Amino acid sequence: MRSNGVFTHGGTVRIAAIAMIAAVALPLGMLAWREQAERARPLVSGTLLPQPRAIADFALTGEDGKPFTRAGLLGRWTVVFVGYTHCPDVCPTTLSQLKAAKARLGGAGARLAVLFVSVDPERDAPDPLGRYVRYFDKDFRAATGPVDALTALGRQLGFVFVRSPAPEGEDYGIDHSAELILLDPKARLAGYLTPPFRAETLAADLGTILRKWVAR
Amino acid sequence: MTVRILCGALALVAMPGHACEGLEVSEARVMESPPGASVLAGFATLRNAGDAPLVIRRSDSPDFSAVEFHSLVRRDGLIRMTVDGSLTVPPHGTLAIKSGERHLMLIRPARDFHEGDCVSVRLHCSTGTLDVKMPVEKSG
Repeated sequence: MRSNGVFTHGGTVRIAAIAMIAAVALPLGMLAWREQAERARPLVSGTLLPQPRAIADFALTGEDGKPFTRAGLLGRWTVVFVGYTHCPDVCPTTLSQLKAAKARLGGAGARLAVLFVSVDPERDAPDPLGRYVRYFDKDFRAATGPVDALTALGRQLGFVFVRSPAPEGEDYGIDHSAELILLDPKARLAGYLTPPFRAETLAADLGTILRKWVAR
Repeated sequence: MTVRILCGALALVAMPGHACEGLEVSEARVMESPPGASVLAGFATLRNAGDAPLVIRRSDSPDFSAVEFHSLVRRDGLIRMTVDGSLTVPPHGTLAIKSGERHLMLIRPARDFHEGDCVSVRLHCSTGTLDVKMPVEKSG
């Protein structure tokens, strides 16, 4: 604090000045402290990067058939889940949990986008992909694209997927990352939520993340 | 709720064939999936009241073109789905076929199944078969 100058003046001025400084500094300090506290608040089931990491543009196709790029991630927090529609257990369970978690957040849930990235472009055309995610929540979005584009995005966001050979050709499964990927409203990689998931824990962590952005 | 009771009642009717000696099935359910889904997951708890391990060698269903036993393995952050050739229920023990760990992979349904519907699954043991009626329920 630059208070040396203030202390050379008379008592009244000095007290007034200190009061003024305090009036400004105290709320500022509290804000800073709150922001610090919000940033430091650990997630129940996940990790936040010390510094969000910018991601390069990418070109996928959205469930509406239109291009889905980095610009589509701006302005809201996004939870990304990687999977495919021919996934019998983990994908529907996780999307149901995300829907339940979003509902628990109430109004704040509107500031959260959910994006299902299908790593099975061969079977997941935009149209059925759209019907699939809307079954869980009308606001959920989905995107997919060429395997190369998905692999490149995976390198940026930290997800992997491997097609597992099946005895019958068309019934292959895909091994995929199970984490939920958190992207901040500036479309930067902010962290991960790790399974096993429960709607209560998800809601708590997503609530923490949404508050964090407000604190900034 | 009514539907579940109906499904349970059907399971009782189906059971007296009991060639799978000692096998009891509880908490059977199929997770409702989005319209057009090509695979559904079935869950249940299998209890073996007998003194010897009970092996279920295969399963089929008139409602699906195939039924497989799948288990999920999480390693290095990756979920890996593996197909198991059979299921073994230990003597006087249980095998939980539960979400996140194992499921009956119900492949290519004959039609869309919704909450309240009933799915028939037949388990083949070394000594015979057991028909199980599984109510379709929403996830979560």
